[in-house]
Amino acid sequence: MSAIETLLKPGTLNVVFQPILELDDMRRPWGAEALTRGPHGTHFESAPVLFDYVRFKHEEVRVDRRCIDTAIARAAQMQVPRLSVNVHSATIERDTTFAAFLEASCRAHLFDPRKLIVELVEQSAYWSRTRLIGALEGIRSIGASIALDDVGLGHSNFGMILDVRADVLKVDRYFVDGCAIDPQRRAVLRAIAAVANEAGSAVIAEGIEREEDLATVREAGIHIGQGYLLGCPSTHLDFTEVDRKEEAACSERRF
Amino acid sequence: MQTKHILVVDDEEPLRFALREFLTNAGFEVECAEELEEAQALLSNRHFDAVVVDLKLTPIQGAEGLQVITFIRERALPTRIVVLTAADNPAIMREALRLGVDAFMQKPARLALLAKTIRQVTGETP
Repeated sequence: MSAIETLLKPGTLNVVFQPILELDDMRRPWGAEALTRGPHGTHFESAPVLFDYVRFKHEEVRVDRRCIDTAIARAAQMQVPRLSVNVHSATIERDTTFAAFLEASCRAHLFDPRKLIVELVEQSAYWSRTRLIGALEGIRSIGASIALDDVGLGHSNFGMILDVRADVLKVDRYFVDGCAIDPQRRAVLRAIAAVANEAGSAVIAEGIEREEDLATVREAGIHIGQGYLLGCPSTHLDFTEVDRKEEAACSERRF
Repeated sequence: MQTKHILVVDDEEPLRFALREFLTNAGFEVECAEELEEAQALLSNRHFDAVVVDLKLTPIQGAEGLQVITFIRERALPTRIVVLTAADNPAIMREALRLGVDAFMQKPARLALLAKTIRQVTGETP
């Protein structure tokens, strides 16, 4: 049996959740990102190795579906205000029934699709802008939102920001790590915050690991963040203290 | 001297197990891959001083090891290549040499000789 078939067996891929917090009131969770890891003790435990392998095997669709279904099932038991799931752009383009799959998965696990954020992971340029936009419309039609991951690096550039019209921009850790001591990183953060503000998108700073960077991110106008300083990935997060107003805002799909 | 990091790429599980055990005991840090794409994913994310690769990674097609060599060469990775194979197709062997390998060994090979070869190609011994 090849590794890919082993990985796709139920229970083989592990899902952990990293909290995403409101930076102005860090007791308040904004949501959580589902992160997938391969089996413990194998080199697939490393997410980059796992997902490069999946990409080289051209198995993004099957693996993404397995990961997302597992994440939704687990998140439904945690009262998560928003669940962010990673999806390869290849899946968005190739999987013509992806939106229907998402809807069915949410229904099966009694999870409100309006809490779902599909985070577009751009490891390669997409093939067809028209097809991508059509697929994203399908995802939005079930009530889910779209996030663009790793903004500022690689293919997650200004062109992608315009094409995807994401509800959420996630600023790559490259710009966050060390921003307190680097004026140019601060300038990039402010610029992305301004673009997001103009577009009506939420913006999340990823990879916050130092108090001084956290303060700088807030000063740059970014009010949502994630990173080891705010919370490590865990198999279970407690969201029972979610503010009711927060849930109401979520249900209106406003960020 | 820093421990050399070795990637073994072979579809035969018993051989991977034996090579991992022997090379680890010989002082190397060893990872193993069963198939082409697994090797590519590891090479994309980790540094390896040398790869020990069979040319035949599936019973049917039989020359996937060449793609591992191509992957390393195209990316100009500083990974030394030791081919360890039972393949006897002259065209495949010529292609491997054309792509550029640092050592070529026929299976079955003496493990002590393999370890010595890895030390030589990685510059650990002259």
